[in-house]
Amino acid sequence: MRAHRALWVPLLTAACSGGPLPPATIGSVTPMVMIASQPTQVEVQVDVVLSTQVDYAGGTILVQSGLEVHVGPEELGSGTYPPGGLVQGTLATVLALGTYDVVADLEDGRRAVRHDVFTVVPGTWPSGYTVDPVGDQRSGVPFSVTLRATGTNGPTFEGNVLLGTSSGGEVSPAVSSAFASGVCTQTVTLTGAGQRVLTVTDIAGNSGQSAPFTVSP
Amino acid sequence: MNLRAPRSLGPRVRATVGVAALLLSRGASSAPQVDAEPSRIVLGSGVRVRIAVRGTGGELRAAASAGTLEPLGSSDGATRFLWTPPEVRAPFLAVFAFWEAGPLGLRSVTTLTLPCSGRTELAIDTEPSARVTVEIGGAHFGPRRADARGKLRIPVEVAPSAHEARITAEVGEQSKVRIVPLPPIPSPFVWVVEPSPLRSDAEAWALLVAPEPLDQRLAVRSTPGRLDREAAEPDRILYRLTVPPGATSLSLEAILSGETTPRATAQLEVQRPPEAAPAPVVQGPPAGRRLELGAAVGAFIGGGNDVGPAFAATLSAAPWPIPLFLEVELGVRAAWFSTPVAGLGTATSSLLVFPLELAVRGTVWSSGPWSVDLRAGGGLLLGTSWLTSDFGQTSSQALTGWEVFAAAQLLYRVGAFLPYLEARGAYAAATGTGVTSHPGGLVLLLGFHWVASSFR
Repeated sequence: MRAHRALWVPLLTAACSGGPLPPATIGSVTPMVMIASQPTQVEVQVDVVLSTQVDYAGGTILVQSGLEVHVGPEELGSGTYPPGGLVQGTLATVLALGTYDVVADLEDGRRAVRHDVFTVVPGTWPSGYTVDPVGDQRSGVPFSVTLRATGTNGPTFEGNVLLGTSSGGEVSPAVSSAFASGVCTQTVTLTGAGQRVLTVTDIAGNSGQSAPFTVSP
Repeated sequence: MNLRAPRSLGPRVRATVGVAALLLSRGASSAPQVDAEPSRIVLGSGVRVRIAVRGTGGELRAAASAGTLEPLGSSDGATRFLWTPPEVRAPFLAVFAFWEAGPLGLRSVTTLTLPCSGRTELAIDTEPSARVTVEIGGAHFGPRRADARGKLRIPVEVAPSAHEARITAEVGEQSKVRIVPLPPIPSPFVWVVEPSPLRSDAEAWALLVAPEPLDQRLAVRSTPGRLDREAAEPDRILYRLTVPPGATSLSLEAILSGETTPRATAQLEVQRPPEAAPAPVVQGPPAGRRLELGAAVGAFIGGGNDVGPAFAATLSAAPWPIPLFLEVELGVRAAWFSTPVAGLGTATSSLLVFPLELAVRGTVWSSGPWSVDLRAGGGLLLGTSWLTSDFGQTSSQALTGWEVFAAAQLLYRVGAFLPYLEARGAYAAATGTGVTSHPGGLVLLLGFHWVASSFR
């Protein structure tokens, strides 16, 4: 869970009293269906009364605006309450086929859940991927790499893929940016040192890899 | 030559005090200047004297030792009087006094002395057919010739300053001179009194003015009352006049020892002091059982944003005959403020609190319509807080709390109404879900109590 991002105007010391706030609810999820191979802009309406602390003596109003929304395992939005409670974000093509819960977690601990409200349906995938040659790199230093989708659907592919390495170390990010017309120029960072191969995989099982290259410490 | 001196030229002049007053319009205040026309008269001639007084700025007052002094009004910067001599024939010096209303001093009174000569006939016995002349005080009368029996009568005028008559009888080449002393004729004095009319509760002054130097033979008295000599000049003496309580009139008298008739008397009215204004219809701060309704508006200053308007309605009851009230107060207080919330926008909080309190109020000081009451009490605070924002958050919360206070009221009684100013020190705390406020502190209220019923 991400760290709370409470927007403390100043710190409050006064205690508050009173009953609990009303529960948060998820009013709508739009759209409710996603094609597995197409990144999808999703809007989740979270209806919530944020927890506030008003201190007249100090002239402060504290709002606990931390709000994390997940569609299945994927986080949506910026992590804070947006004006009007409409959380927006684009889901990468990393969700397997199936139905998912949409969950909103508030900073004050309240949670809203819409079960099985979001469905991922089959899409069309490239037959594979290629990675343009990668020169020797230094560990922890970002570098650019070009990914290309191949096969019949390659030129029209606009989804995301999973990035990895073949022999230890970490690659960041783990999910690529969206392809554009079958090409994705991605900045990645590798850790560790040694001979490496950058792997590219989509959730449909199609993959590709780069030629070996050396990552020096 | 025998001469019958004019021992008595008529009824003796009786000193009286006549006071005339006119309110002058001129602002200058100085010793009055007095002119009289004519400057001397002969009694019995029907001549009246016109007197003009100039140089006064206040309420001019005047008095004459004899006769009647009549105000004629003001014109050309002068206040004019007409003096009519008394119906007497004996010569005397009339004295007039002019002053402005106010405390008397020796120099605050301007006097005018007017010689009044008497007219009479001298009956003379002398040599038959003698030629007779009379000289009195420089004035000559005659000559007249005696009859065959040596008798004649000569009309003469006797000035008040004349002490003798010089009679000359001529027969042939011979002449006889006879000097006959004239008996002194007393001239009246005049009393000048301030204030006019007298008041038993006010300081009073009496100035005795004479047309001639006063001497040790003078005796004065006030009936009732007392005269205490304060200052003197040869022709005037200033007295402090003490008016006894309850006196409605008072007489002053000045007499010289050896004389039987006072030189000056004055009959004065004494005005009763104005009675104290009746007490307000409603008894001075609370006396008796009472029921009051009240309302007040003002503000509270509790620190920070705990600031806002305040209103209170009170029901006060004193079920006992002492100025101690039990009170129920229902109030309203409001406060609000806005502040930016980082990353979201601006939020505004408003609250409305209703104090429901019990109190005790008692009067600790009163003077006339004014009084000071002290109050103490406490109670519950019930209210609501609202939060609005420009980022889509709107909520309301219930507030509860309590307050204790002590206050002082300055009241002014106007019939059944008692407007008051209250200064209250209050500790108040009101909290709700996520809201904390102290809607107390210094509470200033302007209000009133209305006596709804009063009974004993």
